[in-house]
Amino acid sequence: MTIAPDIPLIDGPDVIVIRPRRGWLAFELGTLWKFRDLFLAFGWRDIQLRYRQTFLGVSWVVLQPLLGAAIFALVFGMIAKLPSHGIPYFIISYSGLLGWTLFSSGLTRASACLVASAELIRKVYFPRLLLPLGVVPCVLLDFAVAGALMIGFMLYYHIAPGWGLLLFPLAAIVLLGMAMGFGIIAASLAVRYRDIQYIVPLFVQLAMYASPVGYSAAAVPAVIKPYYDINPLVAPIEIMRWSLIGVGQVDIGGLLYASGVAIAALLIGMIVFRSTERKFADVI
Amino acid sequence: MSYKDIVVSARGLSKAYIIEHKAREMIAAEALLHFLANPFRRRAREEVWSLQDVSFDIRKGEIVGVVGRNGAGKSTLLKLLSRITEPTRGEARIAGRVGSLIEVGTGFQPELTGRENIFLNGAILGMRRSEIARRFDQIVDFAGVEKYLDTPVKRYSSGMYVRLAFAVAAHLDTDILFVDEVLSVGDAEFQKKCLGRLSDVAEEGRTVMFVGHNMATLESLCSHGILLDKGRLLHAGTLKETVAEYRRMIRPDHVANEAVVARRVDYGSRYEHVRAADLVDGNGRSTRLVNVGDALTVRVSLDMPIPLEGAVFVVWIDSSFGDCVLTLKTPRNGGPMERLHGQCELTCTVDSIPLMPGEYVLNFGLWKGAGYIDLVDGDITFNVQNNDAFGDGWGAHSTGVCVAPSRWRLDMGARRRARVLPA
Repeated sequence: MTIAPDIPLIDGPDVIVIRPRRGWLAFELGTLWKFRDLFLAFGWRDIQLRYRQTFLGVSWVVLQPLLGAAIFALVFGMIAKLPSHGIPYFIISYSGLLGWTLFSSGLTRASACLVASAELIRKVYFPRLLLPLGVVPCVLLDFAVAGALMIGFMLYYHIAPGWGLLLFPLAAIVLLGMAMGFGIIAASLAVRYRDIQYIVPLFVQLAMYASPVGYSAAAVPAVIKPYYDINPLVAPIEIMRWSLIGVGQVDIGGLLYASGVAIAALLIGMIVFRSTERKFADVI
Repeated sequence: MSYKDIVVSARGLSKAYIIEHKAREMIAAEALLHFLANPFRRRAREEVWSLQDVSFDIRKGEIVGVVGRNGAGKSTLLKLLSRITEPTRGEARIAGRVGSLIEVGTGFQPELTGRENIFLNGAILGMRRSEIARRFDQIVDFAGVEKYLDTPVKRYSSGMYVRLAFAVAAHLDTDILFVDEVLSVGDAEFQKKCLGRLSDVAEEGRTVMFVGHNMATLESLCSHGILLDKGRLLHAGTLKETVAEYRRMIRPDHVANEAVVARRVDYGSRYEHVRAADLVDGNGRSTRLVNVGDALTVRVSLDMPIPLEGAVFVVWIDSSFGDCVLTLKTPRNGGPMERLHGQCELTCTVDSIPLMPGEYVLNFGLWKGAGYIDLVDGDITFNVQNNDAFGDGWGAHSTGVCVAPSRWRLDMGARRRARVLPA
């Protein structure tokens, strides 16, 4: 215990250096790796909380897309009478919801994660990036449960997917990437601006109608199609449906565009997150 | 001591919080409107330094108490070292695994069971799953919750909750532990258990940095101390010194008072013989700081209307813990007391003060017959400061209660003979 500014600073491979960090992308991958168990713990926590009350929990995961699909079938299939290509309209909307839910629940959960864990951020050190990343396991599990149900429907209605199924994981990754990118941006802003948590659900709701969720992109009039295609969600959601049931159009250019948007969103998200991260504990 | 056993180093560590004079927009829409209306306006802002230019080194195995008033920067220091927030300037380095107990139970999930929370909380505190599994029984045992392991913690009593939370944190396999205020939770018995656990941690050779407000706790737990005031480091050294320094700091009147006449206790005297008293340096100037081994002079102004036969003037020095370490009396036979009459000044000098560095309290009184006829105690507090008093390069860098100059002699011939003899 001394005050000795002239003694050289300790150094070594395991020495933790604490100093003002600079640079936009200065993420410490090593630290993230050291905390890999926490990533799993966060994921496991969310899953436990969601699936805890076995009956209500799991049935909610199943019921949500089912009810959504039923309503879309009613509105678009029976009222608007959009073409159903010989498949129950319910399956068309359900397959759209599959991709949509992956995006929207990823975005919603990621955007809320920092504010929801304010107490933790103020009191404990861990790589903050684990909070948005930690929502991924639960989102993926929900996606898997909804996907299993889809397999059931396909078996029941004798719908066999073709080689197009290979595009399915690609579209899923792009959707998840966009969800995390936008989610991380929103999460960082939400630390500062409390209305972000109201803006995100509003945005999500509007985006759902602007995306081929309850209907196929093929039903969109040619006049507005160029504007419609600006929405990067269009191609991956449409491709996901097509890969499963063969309905809709495959827009590889659109998928590439969506991948670009996902990568850009992730990069911007990292930068925004990084530049606000150093102040999280002070502001939250 | 090699610098290699340093485990925590800080150099010029500073943290500024930005205070904006106009409240910042909490609404994104509003912020956007403001930006559009006036994109180049800079907000009036002020930096408040909650920690400024703090440097220190902590060696392995030291238990360092951080002492200071509220708002002195203690919590900020702990937050910087546990990486919860980033410094504005400066640098700190830590060798080894860090655990911090800034507040117990953060990250507990009420819906999850005790067992699940142990794993979750352990992971949040940076433990690997396998380590938690290894420590699991110990944690449960310490917290005493084995019956309720599979109950959601929302059904726990607050005592159980806190016990479990502390147990997880206290069983981390860390080299360095930062602890803040944790011991203010739980009942007295559990607090004792926590303190015991922290002592064990220290005995295992790990380093602990502890922020607390209870001096008794700090004194029983810590070996060293850091004193912070207004974000600056005022003192770093043994806990004893630091606490004494802190006590001196929070009672600034003791530095200011030039001469003391305030009386605390009066044993039936009808006359105040001691009119003023002071601690002075070699030049006769008032001081409250004495170097180890330097001269210590007490000057007392007395008013003796009639000579008091057989009176003895007594000066005694208490440590900051209240025990008497030194008593000085006027000589029994003859000496100045026999000539004492009217207004006079009595001076007592100890040529080389044998006290260890620390805070001391000066007391004195006039004794006659079977008791004090005038007594002044506890009004002068002074510090003994370490320096190389005896020219041996050590100063008072050792343990013990007193210091003394020593001479060393090495007889080469004798040493050689001693080595030859057994052969």
